[in-house]
Order: sequence, then structure tokens, then C-alpha cells
Amino acid sequence: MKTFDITYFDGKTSGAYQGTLTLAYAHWDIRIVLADGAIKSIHWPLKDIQPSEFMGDTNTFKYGDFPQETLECTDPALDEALRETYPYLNFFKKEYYWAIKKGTGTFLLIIGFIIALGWGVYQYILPEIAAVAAMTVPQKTEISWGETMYHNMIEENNEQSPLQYTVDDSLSVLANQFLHKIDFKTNYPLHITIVKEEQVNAFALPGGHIVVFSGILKKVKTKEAFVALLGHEATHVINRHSLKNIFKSVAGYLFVAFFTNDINGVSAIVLDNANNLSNLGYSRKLEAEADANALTIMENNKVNPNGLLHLFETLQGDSKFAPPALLSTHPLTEERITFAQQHIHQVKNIAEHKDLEIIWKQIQSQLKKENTLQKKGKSAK
Amino acid sequence: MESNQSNDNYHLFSFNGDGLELFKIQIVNWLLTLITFGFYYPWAKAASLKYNYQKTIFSGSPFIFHGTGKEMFKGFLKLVGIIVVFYAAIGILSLLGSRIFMVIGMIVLYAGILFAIPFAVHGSLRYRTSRSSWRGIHFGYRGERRSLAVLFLKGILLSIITLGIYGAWFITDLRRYIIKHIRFGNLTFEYTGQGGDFFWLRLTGGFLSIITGGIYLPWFVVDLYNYFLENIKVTQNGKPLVFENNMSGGSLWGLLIVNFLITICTLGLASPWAQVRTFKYIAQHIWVEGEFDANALEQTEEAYKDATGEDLADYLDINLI
Ligand SMILES: [Zn+2]
Ligand SMILES: [Zn+2]
Ligand SMILES: [Zn+2]
Ligand SMILES: [Zn+2]
Repeated sequence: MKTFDITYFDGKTSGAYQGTLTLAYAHWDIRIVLADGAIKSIHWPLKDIQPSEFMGDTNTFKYGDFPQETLECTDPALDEALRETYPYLNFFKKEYYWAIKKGTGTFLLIIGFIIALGWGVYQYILPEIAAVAAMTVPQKTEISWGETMYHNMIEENNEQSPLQYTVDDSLSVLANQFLHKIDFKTNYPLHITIVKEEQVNAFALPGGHIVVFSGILKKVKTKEAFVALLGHEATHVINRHSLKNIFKSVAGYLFVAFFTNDINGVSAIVLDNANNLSNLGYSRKLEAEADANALTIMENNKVNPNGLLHLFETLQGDSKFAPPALLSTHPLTEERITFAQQHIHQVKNIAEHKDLEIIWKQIQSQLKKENTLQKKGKSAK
Repeated sequence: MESNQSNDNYHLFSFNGDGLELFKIQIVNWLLTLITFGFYYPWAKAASLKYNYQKTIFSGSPFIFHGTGKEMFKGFLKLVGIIVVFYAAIGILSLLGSRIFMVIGMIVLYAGILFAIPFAVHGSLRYRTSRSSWRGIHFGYRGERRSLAVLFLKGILLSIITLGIYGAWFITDLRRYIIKHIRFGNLTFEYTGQGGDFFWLRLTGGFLSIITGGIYLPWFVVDLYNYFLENIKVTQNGKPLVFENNMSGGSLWGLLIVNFLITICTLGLASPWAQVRTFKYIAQHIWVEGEFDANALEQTEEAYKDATGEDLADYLDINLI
């Protein structure tokens, strides 16, 4: 039977005793040399020996209760001998023992696997969970969240702030009159805000607020196209697309933070991101849903559904110069256009909508007025 | 066989960890943390601590970390509870919608966290020291929770009133209190730093770091380390032991730059190697001088059971001492 050189500590003092260890049946035999030269025999039953931490150059073993006896062994052959003598016992934590012995290639595979798994969860499972979670939020709560977000991004007291938008009051009043002539068949309190931004963009907040940039309003040629735009954005509200999106991005950040162990950083990013709601893109599926429902809304209200196609044309034409921001948040794909073309079947049963036409004309003249004012302001400078 | 003792008056540290080994350990940790939805975290932390302790050799013998994932799991659960309550409170406050409620609520929450810090530090010190041993002798911390809390809150208050100037005295007081209450067998510890010296050291170092655009920073860090170590007085049977170190700003710069590059270039995957380099650097540059009798330490501390502080301190990112 093999014997190993060891250093023994009795747990009462740090005095080192040199000695030997023999691996015996169900116990270890330790012999140490005392200060006076006498030999002392120590018996460690296996069941009270505590597994060493890791296999290494110096291995330590503990025995009994506090204060424990300890032995240190620097003989690299001990590991092999332990496994041969006690094949059913793990003296080193098995997962780490396995890891340290295993080749590097295995670890590259594991890293690849973790990255793939993490990406899969992030891409496919997380959005589903977030969407389900978003549906459990009571409508009242959703509306109050949306209200908070709205007031955070809409400038109220005319204080200039780069993060906030400036409301165009007269256009907003007209646009709301327009909005309320349309029946969206919903109990969400829809409300539209026109903000002075040259970008071609519009977005919806959870709970009912729709924000339309004056930049897109200038591009929209017909009242029908405007109804299409409102129908599309209203669907993002009604079907909780906005809330789902926010949940998705927050869940994503939590997930990333969990892996990078940075819990503190999350709140900052979440808050930061809440301000960038306008930049959250929707999935193709949600876009298609919004288009389809916009068509339904137009049909219900007896508005010519070709408005949706006109809206698309306007956006597409514009993209020749610069891609409108709306396209990055509501990607306008070929499939969306094809979808619209295929589903506009009943162009009959369309009402004249004098009321909408009147408001639409007022909106146009207001836009013209503001445009000339702006030009005057520029030339004056 | 004689164990490799250091020269009689010089007692050296070494760190024998290996980047690849630590890397493999971390991969196992990530994997298990992943498949347990994070609940393995305390076990992962225990494993890394155990590895780093075991690879740190002083005067020929390794340190041992005795803490277990199970112990730290309890602390971890409490911590998760506290975080959930904290964020839930913020959520509820923001739902109430009233600005005044929000402001008052946030003040109360942050004050609560501030009050919790000394308790976390206390728990963490008690736990960490009791679970650390060398040659079978356990460390210990005998400070009182209440004294530390009083010291801490007084320090915070005075620091706020003096716009941070009192900070140097505050940190010095904390170090003095904590170090005085650390036990290792029959060794006694004492911190002899003075708030005034520390204040000027920080002021000049901070000033030089700013006007050199950060280039002076490693020299400043070395100065702070030196000052800290120089002022720890250890006594064994009436004989003094001192910590010495020969770090230099230049070599610290080298360490930091290489660590930064290997970590960034591998998107963090090489951080275990960086960690090993740092530990090796510290172990190589610090030693103990004096007549140290490695055989004469007596077990003086009793078993201690409670692991709440460990993770709480970790979350609040408190650097002990
Ligand atoms: Zn026997
Ligand atoms: Zn509102
Ligand atoms: Zn859309
Ligand atoms: Zn009508």
C-alpha cells in the first residue's frame, strides 16, 4: 500500500507535524512525528473526512468538526491513489474535478453552446414570455404607465430639452377632432399629439397616446391615408403591441444584465430606453397585424381602404432621398405592400365623409400657414 | 520533508492559480448558473473563492475557504428578497403618480440602504473571516454590529456636512475599528493610519491624477496601498510584524494595460487570466517582515453561523476594509 508524505495540523495550534498518510480500508492512517521524536498514530474514518476543495499542487483535507484537523499533501500521485482505493468516493468536487481534467476543446464547445442557447432564449423564448406578461397588466395600469411615459417625453412648459418633443397645439386639436370622428371599436382612450419634428415618424404609447411627427403629416396626401396611419398606430395601442414591445426590451435588458452580473446598470438602461420608445421597432408579425386591422377599421368606417396603399407609396417614395424613421420602427417590406394589395377587395360601400374632409382641409391650411411662418422666420434671420 | 518555509525574517506570499483552470471553473459556474436560472450563483461564488484561497500560499501553506454554497444561498435568498422589495416599492411609488410621494419614497428607500450597509459589512466580515483558515487556524472578526453602525452613520453624516472632506477621517476610523477587531489565532492587528495624513495623500494624489489626465493614477493607487499596508501593525507574542511591498506605479501600469487588452480583445472570456495575473502580481509584491513563528498560532475563534452579509456586501459592491 502506497504511503504519502504529508503535513498535519491538529486544529488547536498552527504547529506543523511532518508525517505520512496511508490509504486504508474505510479510513486513513496518519503517522506524525511529535516534538519529542515520538510517533503518533491518527485514525481518520472516511465518513468524516471532508472533500478537499480542488485538486491542485497542494491538496488539503479536513477532518471532523470545528476546529478541524487538517492535512496538506503535495504529492501529485495522491489523486490517482484516491480514485483507485476508493472508486466510489469523490474527494474533489466532481463537476470541477471533471472540468480541470478535461481538454480545452470541450470548453470551446461549451462556450459555443452557451452563446447559442443564450441567443435562442433571448430571441425566441423571452419575447413570448414578455408578451404573455404584458397581457396580464390591467388596462387601468397600462393607461397610467402610458400617461407617465407621455408626460416624460412631451414638453409641457416649453422648457427646451433635447429628449422632449414640442407639441404643435393647433394641429393637435384638429387631429384629435379628426381622430374622434373615426370609430376604432375600442375602450382605450385614444388621443393624438402632433409634435414639431421634421422626421417622417409616428409611434404609439401603451394606453392610448399616439404621437405623430409633423414631418409625416406633411407627406400624407389624403385623408384616407391619414385614417390608415391612425388605424395602424391605434392597433399598436389596442392590441398592446407597444406594451409587449416595452416588456420585451426590458426583459432583454434584464437577461443581458443577469449574464453580465450588472444589476445596478439595468435601471439606468431601462430608464434611458423608456425615453427612446419611438425607436423601438416592431416585429413583422405585429406590423402585419396592425396593417390588417387598419384595413378593418377603414372598412368599418366606410373609408376607402386604398388609403393604406397611398400611405405606403408616400413612405416608399420618400425613402429615395432619406429613409423615413417610420420605416425603421415599422419596417415597410414588400410583403406589407403585397398584403395590402391583396386585401383591398371591397372598394364599394364608401361614404363621402364631408366632416373628415373639412377637418383634413383645416389641417392642410394650418400646415401651410406654419410653413410660411417658418420660412419667414428663417429669412428674417 | 521540511515544508518550504520562507527565510526567517521574510515571509512570502505566492499565488499558484492558473488562468486556464480558473477559466474552466468559471465555465462550469456559468453553465450551472444558467440551467438553474441563477440559483447556483452562491455555489459558483463559493467555488471561485475556494480556488483562489487554495492557490494563495503564505509561508509554504495554502489558505482554505470553508464557506459553502448552501450557507451563502440563505444570504443570497434574503438579498434577492430585499432587491425585489426595493424595486416593487419603486414601482408602487411610480404608480401613485405623485411627485412628492416619489421623492419622499426614494429618500426613505435610499436611507434604508444606507442603514443596511454597516450591517452588511459586519455580517460579511464575520462570515468571511470565520470561513478563512491557514494551517487549520481560523480567522475571526470580533467587532460589534452596533458600534460599526454608529461609526458608519456618524461618518456619513459628517462627510455630507463637510462636503466629503471628512471622508478621509471616516475611512481611517472604519479601517481602525475593523482591523483592530480582526483575529488570527493569537495575532493582534492594529491600524495606525491618521485621517490627516490620509486626507493629504488623497488630495495630492487625486490632484496629480487629474492634471496628468489619469497617467499618475497607478502611482496614486500604489501610494494608497503602501499607506494602508504600512499602517497595519501585527503583533505576535509582543513581537511586531509588518507588511512590506515593492509595487511601483510603472509595473502596475503594465499589469493594468495588459489585463485591459486581453479582457477587451476576448470580449471578457480571458478575464480569468487577467484575474490570475492580478493575484500573482499582488502576491509577488507583498511580504511580511519580522520574527513570525508559523507554528505558534493558537485556535482562538469559535464556530460562527450566518451568511447574510456575504451576498449583501457583494451586491452593494463594498470593498471590505
Ligand atoms: Zn488503520
Ligand atoms: Zn393623456
Ligand atoms: Zn407599426
Ligand atoms: Zn364620417
